Amino acid sequence: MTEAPAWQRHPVLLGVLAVTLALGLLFLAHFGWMVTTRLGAEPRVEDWMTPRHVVHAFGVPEAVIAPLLGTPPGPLPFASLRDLAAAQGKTPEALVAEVQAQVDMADGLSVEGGP
Amino acid sequence: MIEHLIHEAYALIPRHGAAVLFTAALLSCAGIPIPTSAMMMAAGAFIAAGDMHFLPVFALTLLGAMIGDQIGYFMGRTGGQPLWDKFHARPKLAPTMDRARAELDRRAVIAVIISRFPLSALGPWINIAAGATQIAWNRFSLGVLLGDAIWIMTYLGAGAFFASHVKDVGATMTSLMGALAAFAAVWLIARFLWGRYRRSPA
Repeated sequence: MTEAPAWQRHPVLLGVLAVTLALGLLFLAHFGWMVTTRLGAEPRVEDWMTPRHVVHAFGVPEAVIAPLLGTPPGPLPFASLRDLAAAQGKTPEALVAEVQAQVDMADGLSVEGGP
Repeated sequence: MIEHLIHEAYALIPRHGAAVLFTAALLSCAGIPIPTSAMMMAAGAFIAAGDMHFLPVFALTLLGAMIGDQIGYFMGRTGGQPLWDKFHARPKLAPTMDRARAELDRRAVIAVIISRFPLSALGPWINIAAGATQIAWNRFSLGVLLGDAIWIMTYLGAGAFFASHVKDVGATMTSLMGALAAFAAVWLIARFLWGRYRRSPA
């Protein structure tokens, strides 16, 4: 009597192999999608960002962002725009839109003022 | 889905500070799938912006990762030991298992370092395997200390460098690392099955 092939003797392992392969292909597809569509795109302000991160990453002056936050004068707080919006009774989308408008304006000014 | 998960994980960092990185590193190293690498990139961006300080972030993340690694190692050591003993009792398997253990032990440090970065998704499984095969604790701990330190510094540095695109880069890296780890696991399983197939009588 001949012994069954390895994959017939290890059906669970074969199942794990198939699921892991499918998972790997899904991750690879998502990686390809991110590289082709997102990595080159212009970054946008999001509600997880902090005011200092916006200043650093988008090159906007602190003085432009600070008045939008509803916080006392002083150093910019280490808090997300989402939490700062909640403290002001605004929706995160509203505050993000205001900050994005300032970023766009600063961006426009730097382009106009460029060589 | 990956991006949504990363988005929500990023929002936790300003709310809870470095403590959230400690918790994420501990849980992910103990085997719970959390996008800790991407979260470290966000922390790197926050450090670059002046919101966080490098040293507490690095130290707390390293501590969390080391504790999580030890949980996995001792889970393997206690849970895997009866399984090991059961198979080791078979005279035909014992010499092969002893050779495999000696080989693993000899390469333990480098295997553990590689499983932190670039194959960080395989890390928890390597921890359990290291415990189950009784790799010496001091060699395992040296490997995770070096590997975790490289892993954390690489991602904090990448976050500082890619600050303006940190979420997109984080999601891209998470997918790439996930794909690499999955294909590495596929290769290991396929190699095992192929080996058994070649040894089986025609």
